[in-house]
Amino acid sequence: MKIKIIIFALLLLVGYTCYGQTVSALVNNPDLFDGKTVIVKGELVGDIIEGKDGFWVNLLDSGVAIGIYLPYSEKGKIKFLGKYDVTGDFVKIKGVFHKRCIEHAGDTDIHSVSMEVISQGMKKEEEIPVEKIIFAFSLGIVGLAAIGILHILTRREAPGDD
Amino acid sequence: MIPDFSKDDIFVVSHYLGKIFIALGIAQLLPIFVGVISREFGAVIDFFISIIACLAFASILLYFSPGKQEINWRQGMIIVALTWFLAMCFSALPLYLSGHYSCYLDACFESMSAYATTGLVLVQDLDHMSNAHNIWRHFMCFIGGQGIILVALVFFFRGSDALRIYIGEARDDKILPNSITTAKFIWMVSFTYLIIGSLMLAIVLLFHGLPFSRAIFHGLCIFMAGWDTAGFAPQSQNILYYHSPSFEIVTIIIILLGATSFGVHYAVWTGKFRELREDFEIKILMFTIFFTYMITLIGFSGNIADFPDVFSFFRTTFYQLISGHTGVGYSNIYSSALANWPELAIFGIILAMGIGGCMNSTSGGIKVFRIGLFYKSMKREIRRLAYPESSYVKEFFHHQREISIDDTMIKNAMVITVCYILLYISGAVIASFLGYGFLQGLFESVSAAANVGLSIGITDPSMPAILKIWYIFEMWAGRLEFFAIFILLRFLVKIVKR
Repeated sequence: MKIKIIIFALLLLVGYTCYGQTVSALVNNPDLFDGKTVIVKGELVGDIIEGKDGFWVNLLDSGVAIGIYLPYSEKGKIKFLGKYDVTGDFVKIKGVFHKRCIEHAGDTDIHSVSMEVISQGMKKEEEIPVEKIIFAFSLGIVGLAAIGILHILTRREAPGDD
Repeated sequence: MIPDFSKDDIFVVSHYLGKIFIALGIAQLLPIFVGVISREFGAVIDFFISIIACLAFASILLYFSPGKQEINWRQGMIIVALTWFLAMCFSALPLYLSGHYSCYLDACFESMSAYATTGLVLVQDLDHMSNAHNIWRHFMCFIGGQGIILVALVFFFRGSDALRIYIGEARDDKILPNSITTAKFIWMVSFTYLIIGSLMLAIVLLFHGLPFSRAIFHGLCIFMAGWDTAGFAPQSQNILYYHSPSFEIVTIIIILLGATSFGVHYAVWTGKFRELREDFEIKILMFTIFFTYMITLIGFSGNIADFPDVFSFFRTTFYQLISGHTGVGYSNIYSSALANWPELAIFGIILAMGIGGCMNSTSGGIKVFRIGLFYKSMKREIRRLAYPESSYVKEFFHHQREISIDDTMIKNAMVITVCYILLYISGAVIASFLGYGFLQGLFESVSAAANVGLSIGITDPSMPAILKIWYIFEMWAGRLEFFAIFILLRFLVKIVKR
């Protein structure tokens, strides 16, 4: 009997806590995960958006982003937010998923319970392919020369035209 | 006898296209400036290549057609249609070079979506896009919302020429006596609101703790795409990214201003505030917003309990409705959430998108003016039947002045409305053939053709190329209200036949 109770409790726990979900799975099946504790991993991107008693940060996972609501005490853990020349911190968030959050006027979000920084982000050196630079340089010379010549020819052939 | 297309048409069209492409090249100095101050030199190179391409193309056109001639109506229409198509192709170049698009067609889709102020996107990894490319996406919305031609009108065209291409860009209200002063007024209004609106949005974001430069950048981008009812945003989550009802309220004010006729803006600017109360088109817009929202509400009647409270219900449903009706396409929910709405609620949004905003505004769609005209026409016919046969029944409406409706007006409105409906249905049918649901297909098709930009999930880099091409055509035809494109197609057919 004891074993049955333990198994039942474990099943309930598993049913209530859904580990290791992708953001895409949450967003596409919101009813399945609504109100449940989930764990998501991804890159923090964009900006920190301050709220009443916490702040928002957006987590990007396989092309889909979701808002994570965190207490201010967690702010110090965030060092980098992803953008053009920055790879954001890669984090693991454990939190409660809301299809329509009561606290935040119906937003789809995750209220973080804990955040772990798996790998810190960094500022990237902008890598411009050499071929692109050569192409742009050549095009610039040829293009500007052609524009100049055509402009002179156009002027000569139609002196009255502005 | 009506003169047929001749070589002269090609020369005149080439000449003015050349001039417009000089303007398009100059316009790309803005992203270069942003790229330099953001130290995004890779992006600067992309725009350098694109500027050279535009100027080289313009030089070739001007070399082969240097003479300046008067434009006739037909040439004006061809210039407009070709400008929009070629601007799409050339403006897609820096987008494609950014590496955020899987193919050139996707970049073209995005640039047409921006110019036509639609807002459907195929960009990938938007959250890591450079500021320069992002500002270009939004600046294209700003240019397209006013009209690409309108940019060039101020600098390159004379009075009679100006009117002929002004009309081609789906604008039939001359607010001021001539088209060039009207164009200047439209730009003055737009730039004034650009400053005020961007600052308002930036202030809200500053309250949310964003650094000053980021708040200004976001404010500027969201204003340009909101005022021009385009619906682009600098982050992949669109308006949901900001998690801020107060930010959404500011965007609603901006999009309502964008969906209002420039004629009404002019009246208000010149102190005639009562125009806001009396303008027939504004009244119809308010009614159709109310009517379509009622349909959406009825659609949700069995599902209201799914929402945590009345405010979140209103925030979610009204935002999508107003966004769809004005043609902006901003969204504070995921497209997968929209796809799960009740069918009647989706129909309410489709109807709102199909109707669109005001004439001579930055909105797309059939336009509330035409809907109002049908209502007035119906009223006139009922009165005509009710009164004695000998009586002459007239029906008036107030649209900056008292206007009496006539049969030509009704006929023109009817032709354009039928074209829109056929375009809406065509996209839905094609999507159905490709395996999507008809209602979903209709939603996306109306969104593209009415230049809205809300998505129910079909628009995606992996969707079939044929659907991308058809949506590009829908955005192009819908924005220019068909006639310029019909004339261009006829012109091309004639050339091929020869």
